[in-house]
Amino acid sequence: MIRSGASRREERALRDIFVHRAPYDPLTIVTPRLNDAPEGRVNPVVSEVHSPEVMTEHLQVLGRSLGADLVVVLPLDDGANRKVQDTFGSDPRPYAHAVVAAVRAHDDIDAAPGLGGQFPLIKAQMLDFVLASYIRELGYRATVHYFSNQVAATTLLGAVSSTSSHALRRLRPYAVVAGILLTDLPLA
Amino acid sequence: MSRTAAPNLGRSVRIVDDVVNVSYSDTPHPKVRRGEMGPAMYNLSMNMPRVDPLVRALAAGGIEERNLYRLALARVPIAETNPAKTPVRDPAAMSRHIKEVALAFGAGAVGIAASHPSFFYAKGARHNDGRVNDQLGEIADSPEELARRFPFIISTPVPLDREMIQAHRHFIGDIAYGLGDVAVTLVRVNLARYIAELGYAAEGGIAIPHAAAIAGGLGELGRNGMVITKKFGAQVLLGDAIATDLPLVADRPIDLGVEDFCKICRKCAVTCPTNSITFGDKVVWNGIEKYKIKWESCYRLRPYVADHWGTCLTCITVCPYSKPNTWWHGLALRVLRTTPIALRPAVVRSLKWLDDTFWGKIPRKRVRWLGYDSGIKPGETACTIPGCNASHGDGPEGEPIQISATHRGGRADVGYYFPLKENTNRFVKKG
Repeated sequence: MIRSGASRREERALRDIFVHRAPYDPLTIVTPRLNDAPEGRVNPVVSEVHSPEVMTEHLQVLGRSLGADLVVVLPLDDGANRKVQDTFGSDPRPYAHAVVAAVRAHDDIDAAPGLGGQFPLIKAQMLDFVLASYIRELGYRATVHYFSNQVAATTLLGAVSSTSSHALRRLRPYAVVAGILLTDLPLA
Repeated sequence: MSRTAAPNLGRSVRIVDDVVNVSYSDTPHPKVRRGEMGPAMYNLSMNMPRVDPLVRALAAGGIEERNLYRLALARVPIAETNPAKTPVRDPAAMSRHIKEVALAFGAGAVGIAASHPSFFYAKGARHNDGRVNDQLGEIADSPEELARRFPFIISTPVPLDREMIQAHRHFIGDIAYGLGDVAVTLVRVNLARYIAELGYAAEGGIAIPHAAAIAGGLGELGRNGMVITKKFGAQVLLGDAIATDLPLVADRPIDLGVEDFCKICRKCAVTCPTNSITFGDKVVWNGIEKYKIKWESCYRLRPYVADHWGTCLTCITVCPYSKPNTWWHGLALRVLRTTPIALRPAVVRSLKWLDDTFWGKIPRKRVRWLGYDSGIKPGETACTIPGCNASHGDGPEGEPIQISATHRGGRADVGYYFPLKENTNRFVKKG
């Protein structure tokens, strides 16, 4: 198909709006509202689960099926739990593990306020939401703390575990993380 | 009632008489939720937790609806339309951009249909992700008014995982459907919000997805009542179509040879476990000439098989068009499309013979995914974890439990699918 120069310019301008223009109504981006949405209950019937190694693999495969580029499971010791509590200031109960799901992005989402620029964050939030729902349906606790921006995410994840920071660095040009999923599901 | 000139829907479906627009309240899901499909269906929909935890988390039947992503997304208030409209000098460029955006959100294909009154639900209930939604208010305009207000309807189907849905009538297939459901919701919600951000109206839940997809050139209507698409065959989830007043250029219906193929093939009718797909010719139903499926019997089986699966998918999996998007599949389609219509029956017979020979008359492939295994008959398993019937080496010495393969004639690559067609033939009439 042959396109005129004007047509190509119009498409470029639209692409710029898509990625870089902050929406007129903040509700256009669904992430803040979903961050505040009440979490579902934990299924009172605790399901029998596989070994921690198998469950870790299941979460990773499920995450990839949903579009994650990376799913990392991090063990949380007392120090790491304290750091998480200090950052988010809620739920003093310790959790055994954290799950971090990341999505690759072409643009820095902190500098791309358009819906297209924010979409990796929306997708990453969906991953946290569905993985947490699955764990709750298995009968285990799962709560997601969402980050206010990617700097906060990098800072906390770096403090909790260097493994996650290294893994995230492999996602280029940008790795996007919406939140940290805390759970007592036996994982490895 | 829609009395305007009939729209072009291609060869697979034709509007031949007046169409009485259907209210969303009269479609299957609301009927089930009102108990009009019987207590068993009502209880399955409203009261019965599903066996599998992942199905509960992705689709329905969980501990509560707050765990369902698509319903959480549906509760986020609609964004206000930007009062400063983005000027559209070139609707073709805007169409290309909207398609690019939808693909970036995860759609597998995008079609833009020119509106027609018959593509809209009647006045009354509107839905938001399959639920009658009071928050958005009822559809107040007539279908004619809706077609005037929204000149275009955008369809953004998402492909289902081809490998996973080979395990049709199994939790693996259910999960593939659930994953598709999440993906299609993500596309639709964000695309509608983006159109509003551009300053134009974008309404979901008012247009009939099948009509919009066919008119928008995504595919043709098959004997199984599914839209058979060029790229993914029948293995797509259409999701909700978006009606809009954004200036676009409409696509045209396409000819994939579905009309010629479905006349002869009948694989979906042969394998449908409830005989809900007709073996006969098209009929005129509500002014529309098409193959009429019996959706009531398709639904009514579900409560009785809920321990094994929730979403059948057999007619999607068996369809010869649902094949990997490879050169040989493209070649077969091209041969069919370029053959003169009068000569197509001979080509169809050859292609169907090839399909039966290489892919089997009834797909019963064994699929393993995430610890699930469609090759093991429930009850013959060592694993007691709900939703999982794989063998994980739980023998006395840690070795895998040997599973009897009586249901698959001793073959390791064949799956177990419940119920078998011969079981239901006894009580569901063919037609």
